[in-house]
Amino acid sequence: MKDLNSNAAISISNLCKTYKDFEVLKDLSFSVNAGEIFGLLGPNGAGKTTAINLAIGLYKKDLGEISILGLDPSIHKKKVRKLIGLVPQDTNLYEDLSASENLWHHAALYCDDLTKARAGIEELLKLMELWGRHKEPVRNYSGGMKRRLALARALLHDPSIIFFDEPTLGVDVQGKHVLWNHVKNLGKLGKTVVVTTNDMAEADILTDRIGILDRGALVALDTPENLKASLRKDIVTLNTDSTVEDPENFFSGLNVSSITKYEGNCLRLEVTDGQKAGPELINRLSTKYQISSFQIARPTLDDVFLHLTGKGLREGGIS
Amino acid sequence: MKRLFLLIVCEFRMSRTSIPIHLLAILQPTLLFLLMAIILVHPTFDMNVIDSNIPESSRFISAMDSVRSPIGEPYIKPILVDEKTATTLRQVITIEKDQKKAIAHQRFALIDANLVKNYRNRLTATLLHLWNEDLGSKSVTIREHPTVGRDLPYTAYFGLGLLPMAVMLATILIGSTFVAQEFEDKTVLELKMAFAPIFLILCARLVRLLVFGCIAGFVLVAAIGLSTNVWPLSFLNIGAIFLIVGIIGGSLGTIIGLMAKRLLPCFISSLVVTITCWVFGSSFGPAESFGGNYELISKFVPNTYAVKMLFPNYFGLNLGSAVSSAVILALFCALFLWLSHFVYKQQIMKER
Repeated sequence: MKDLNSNAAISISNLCKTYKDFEVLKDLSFSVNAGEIFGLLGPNGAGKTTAINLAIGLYKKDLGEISILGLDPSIHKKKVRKLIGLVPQDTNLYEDLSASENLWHHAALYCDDLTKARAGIEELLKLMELWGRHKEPVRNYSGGMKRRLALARALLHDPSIIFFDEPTLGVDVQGKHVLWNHVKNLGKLGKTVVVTTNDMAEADILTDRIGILDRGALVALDTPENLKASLRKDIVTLNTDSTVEDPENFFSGLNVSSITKYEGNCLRLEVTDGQKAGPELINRLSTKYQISSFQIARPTLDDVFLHLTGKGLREGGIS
Repeated sequence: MKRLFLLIVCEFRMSRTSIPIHLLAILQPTLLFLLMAIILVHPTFDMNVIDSNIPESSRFISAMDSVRSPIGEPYIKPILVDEKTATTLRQVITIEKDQKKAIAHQRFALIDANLVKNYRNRLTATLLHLWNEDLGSKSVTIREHPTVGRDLPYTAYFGLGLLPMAVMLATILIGSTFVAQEFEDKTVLELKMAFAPIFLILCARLVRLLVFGCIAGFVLVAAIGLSTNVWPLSFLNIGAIFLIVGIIGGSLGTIIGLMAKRLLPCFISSLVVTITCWVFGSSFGPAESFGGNYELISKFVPNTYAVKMLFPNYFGLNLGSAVSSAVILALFCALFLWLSHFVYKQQIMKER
């Protein structure tokens, strides 16, 4: 699953990381093109955050190579840090300071030209629709406002690459859409964005390409459309008046590859061709049950994700 | 310079994150001093006396009035009481004639041995006074010649010993708890990724801690002055000593915060370090006068040298060489500054 590109903004090759005898990343290789919005998906403990922390130079790699715009973060720490902006999962803002005070603190630590910072702070706060409340302590802000402020902070020193960890975690629907627009605009401005998320709808809407990590290894790397098409399956969701007895046997001979029982009398079937299988399924069901709903849909990223990573619960990662 | 100034401004803004800890750290030593000043013994003792209307009684009372400290402050203030009132008092003296000699009976109620000791040496001095009067030229008289023209009250010394502790408490406690809070709130990531020089970040933090340390110190200076009327001879020198102690305390606080990373352990460690330095730092009297292990341990405690430097600035007298104390304090300063920089690099900047 290698995808190396010498002109890439981010290039990771054969990356390995072990932590306390636990192999967090195994031979990870992928690259992110300049100006691309790249999604890094995976279950909890898959190694997404470790991969990011290695890319930004917070963790030390065991093996492999990382290149950020041609620079190795373990050698050119300072130069690399100037090139990247980070929006972490915990927004890590100073809650008792106002939005502008938080940005001024960031400017003191990160900006080369402090005279430019004043204009930058005002511009970013206006862009993120926070200017009206920029003097208020951050602790009064909603989750979405905090996320937008964290994004403004990450952009203040004008980085070329932005790492965005769980961009809309705990943000309401309206807030999500505002944030998605901002992230999409970054791509339009030529910034490279790496987003890690567990929200497949978000990944589908936001990203140009997706890499799916599972147990420290890359199991898929493609555009969202190609990943969905690669499943070569349609999803049928149906409800009947009573529980379908022994569904595997009942649907045999109809090219049903997977059956999942949901609460009540709901079934989710994976079929190779929905158009063809739909009438056949209805005919078969009508012989014994009354159908209350029947839906055929193209697979979503959720389906791709579950297909590749399984349905078991995952925990762990480097804490 | 512009970046340093901005970092300092940001540091002061961040003080808002823990106002109760700032207040506690700044005011606690002054509160301790004010409470202890009430308990600590005043040089003049009130002594209740029943005048038995015999010549020995009036002579004794007049001798009590004449007993003085080396610089002439009265040691005893005789308070005349009648026999009926005396039964309700904790201490009373009655002079009674017994054949040819007079006996002073001192009766106590609810008085500890330490306080009795203080009465006893004052009464001995009273008797010596009468002895000298009676024997005249046949007696040996002790004359005291103080080189300092004023009394060095223990309350003031106690306060002086608290001054380095006040500066240390403010700098250590505020410094350590803020670093721990940065770890707990995960704002430390901002510092991990920063490319501003570490020494500028630490310098800005130290400036903030020094300001709060000096505020804590000068609040206590004012409390000592107002309650004992003992003021520093040079406020500038006192300020300079506060700065040196503050740098040591601020660096120590930063180190504790970086190592402990959590608020409660930081808070407790800071108190333990500050109180240990206070107890072993000549705070209850010069370390030399306690001797033994105390004196040995006190040599490794910055407060000892700070007290040695503060003493001449309060009382005009040196406790050992002020220059060597200044050099040792400067060495402590350099050591802890280097240590805080080293630990910062290890705990914040190092890749995991």
